[in-house]
Amino acid sequence: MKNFTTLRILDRFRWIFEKLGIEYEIMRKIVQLKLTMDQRRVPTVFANQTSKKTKERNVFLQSLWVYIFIGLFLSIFMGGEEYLFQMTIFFSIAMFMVMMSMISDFSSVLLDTRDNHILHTKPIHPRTISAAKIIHVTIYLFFITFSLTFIPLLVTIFNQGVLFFLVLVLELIFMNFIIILLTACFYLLVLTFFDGERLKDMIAYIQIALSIILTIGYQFVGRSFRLSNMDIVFTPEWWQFLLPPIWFGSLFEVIFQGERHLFLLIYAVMAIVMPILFIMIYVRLMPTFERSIQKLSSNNGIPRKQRNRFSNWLARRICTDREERIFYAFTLKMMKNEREFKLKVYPSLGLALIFPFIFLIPQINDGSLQEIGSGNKFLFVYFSMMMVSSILLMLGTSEKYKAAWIYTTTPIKSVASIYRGALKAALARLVLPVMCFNMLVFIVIFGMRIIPDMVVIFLHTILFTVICSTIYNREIPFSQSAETSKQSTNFGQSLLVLSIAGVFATYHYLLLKVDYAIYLNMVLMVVVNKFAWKKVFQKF
Amino acid sequence: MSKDITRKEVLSLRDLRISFGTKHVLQGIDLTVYEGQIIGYIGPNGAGKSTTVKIMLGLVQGYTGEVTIFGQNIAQDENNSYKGRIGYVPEVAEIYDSLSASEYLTFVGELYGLSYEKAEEKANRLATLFGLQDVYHTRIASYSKGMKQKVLLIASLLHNPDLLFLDEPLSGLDANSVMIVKEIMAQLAAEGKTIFYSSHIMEVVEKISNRIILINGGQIVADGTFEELQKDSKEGTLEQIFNQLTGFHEHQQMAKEFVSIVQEV
Repeated sequence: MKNFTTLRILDRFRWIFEKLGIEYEIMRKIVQLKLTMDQRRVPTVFANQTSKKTKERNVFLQSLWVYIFIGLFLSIFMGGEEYLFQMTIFFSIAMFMVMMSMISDFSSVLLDTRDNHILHTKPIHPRTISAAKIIHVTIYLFFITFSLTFIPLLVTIFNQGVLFFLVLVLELIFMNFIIILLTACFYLLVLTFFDGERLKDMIAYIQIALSIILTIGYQFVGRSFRLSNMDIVFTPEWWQFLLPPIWFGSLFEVIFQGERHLFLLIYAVMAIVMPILFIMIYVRLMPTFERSIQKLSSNNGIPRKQRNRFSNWLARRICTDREERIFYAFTLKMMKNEREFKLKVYPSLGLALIFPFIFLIPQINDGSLQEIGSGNKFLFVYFSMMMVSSILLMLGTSEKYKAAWIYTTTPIKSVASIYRGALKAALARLVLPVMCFNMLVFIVIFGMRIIPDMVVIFLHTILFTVICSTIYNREIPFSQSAETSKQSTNFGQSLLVLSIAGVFATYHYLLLKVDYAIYLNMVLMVVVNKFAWKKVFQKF
Repeated sequence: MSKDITRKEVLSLRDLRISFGTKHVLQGIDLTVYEGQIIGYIGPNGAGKSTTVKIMLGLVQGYTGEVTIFGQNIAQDENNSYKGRIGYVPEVAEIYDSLSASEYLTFVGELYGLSYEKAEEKANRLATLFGLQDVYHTRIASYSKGMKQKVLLIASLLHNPDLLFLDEPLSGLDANSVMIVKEIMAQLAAEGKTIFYSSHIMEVVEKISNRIILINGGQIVADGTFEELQKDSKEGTLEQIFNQLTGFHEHQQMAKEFVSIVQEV
């Protein structure tokens, strides 16, 4: 096992852990083991790759530069003197980003039931195990936060001075305290009410809800400020007590602008006191948390059989080929049951549901609803398309990806039908329902006149999905571990997919300029779609 | 073995070799298997048992030599249609365990060409016989090891295969289920099915196999009925034959050493 630099840095703080009554050596061993496992994620399914040596590297660390890239944009909030406004926005975005990755990527770390069997059967104090878990999560939180704020931090040193920089660093650490506690509290709450398989499902839904709440909360932060006469005016309200980014923003305003408004003073104090309080609560909660996790492996659900007549009928309609239909049905069941899949995909479905409206709502504030209803803003529906990318990526992966041996040992005639069936299932169950819902709401806002446009968007979405599936490395459904899949797709591919969605939207915008072009395009798209579904998969 | 001449050949391996990197896992396996045989395929860990089976199933590529199953070279069967007559129970219970037994089994049945209704009906009846009726619609993730093993066994048999590859099929099963499965194997063989059985439990292999193949270091070192092996090696049990042919005698010595190391604290 490698002696990680992170661990060597940790060694310097050994005394803190020992003072807290933690067996430091053992905790270090556990963390070292976890980090090693993170590095050594099993490569691909089929055994013919066994001869290949895979280099040990941490996929996670490689993905960090995406955060650095986002940080570049965040650094625009580092100039200027409107500290309250700038820092609140900055912390909102940072908190949102970090919390999202915490929910989607680290629930497996927090909720690892293997720890129970492996670690809790050994003569180790539970406190040490909890500490190891906290450290493991913290290391990753540190990396995410640091990459995200790397550029902004650099900017502050030059722009705002060293003191500002130091306060920012401190507050970022505090922000992570809050994130850890909030995440843990959510899990704990759910863990106390449910058990077994149902509980794991519940957690998936909670995570989805959480990501949606975060998105909406973000809107509220924006609401706190009103742009009037080029000045940004802040109106203190009671509910701002619930928004940590405002605490942080106030702290900066109080220190560096000498603001003495009572509310802001209280917020500033909260920015320091609350995180410390939070982390102390978290440490207290940890044993309860561990006990509740034990329930994850127990199960006493009531078995029942379900078979949906409608989905049968639909399967027969949209899948002509027998094998295709089998994989259509299989994919539907897997998407419904695979927790990992739901955890990763549902939040992006939630975002896809909200996103078009996030862009639409500020517009409504400015102009009247009627004014909007006559414009072209319905093209915002295209924002929903971004969910396709994460669905396609996750479709190739499974927790139990090794079970894909079944594809090889059974007499499957054409691999193309596997892809087609799976893709159709994803479209029918996830993509199109979300799109259709948004379209319906848009039709209500914009009126019946946009129905032809919505039909075109519907057809575009189907074509877009097929195109995307050719861009990503194609994997047989549920045959890869999530880690390897991440490894094989790069940021460039995702960017390409996003820009293709942009191309579709632009194309649609241009169509609006020409009379009847929409209707012609409708016919064209039906033909192109037919062709694409037939041809694209034949190469495999 | 004069009666083999009238029997139909089910599979044959000709000079089968494979290596992973510099490691030669199989070094020329020659083998012909006939209808109705129960073959106990045994050998020490890492001898190449699972690899042989995986090659025959197309799970491992990159071998040299010829693999003929049901009279066809599998390298030339592009449709994989030969797999439709094979059932496979893998050594490790890798299974899509977020599905229920019902969902998984019907899916596998359909992959093997059964209609949904047929697969569902057969799977349900077989699962009930195995005592899985209460958990039939529950996620496999919550099953015990033995229950998972039963699901795998049913999955391998749904399509009435002519050739079965069973890799430690009894692992995790309770004593009663073991008796059932052993009897199932005997009756299937009597119906003319061929069973390729790998296991480390010598007592079971000794009792159920009518032909035993022992491989060591990627080569066949013994091939024949239990009685024939007994005669050749002059040993009483298959376990002893196994030890003798794999050149292992020091088990007492090693155990002694092992215990003495355990006692040092």
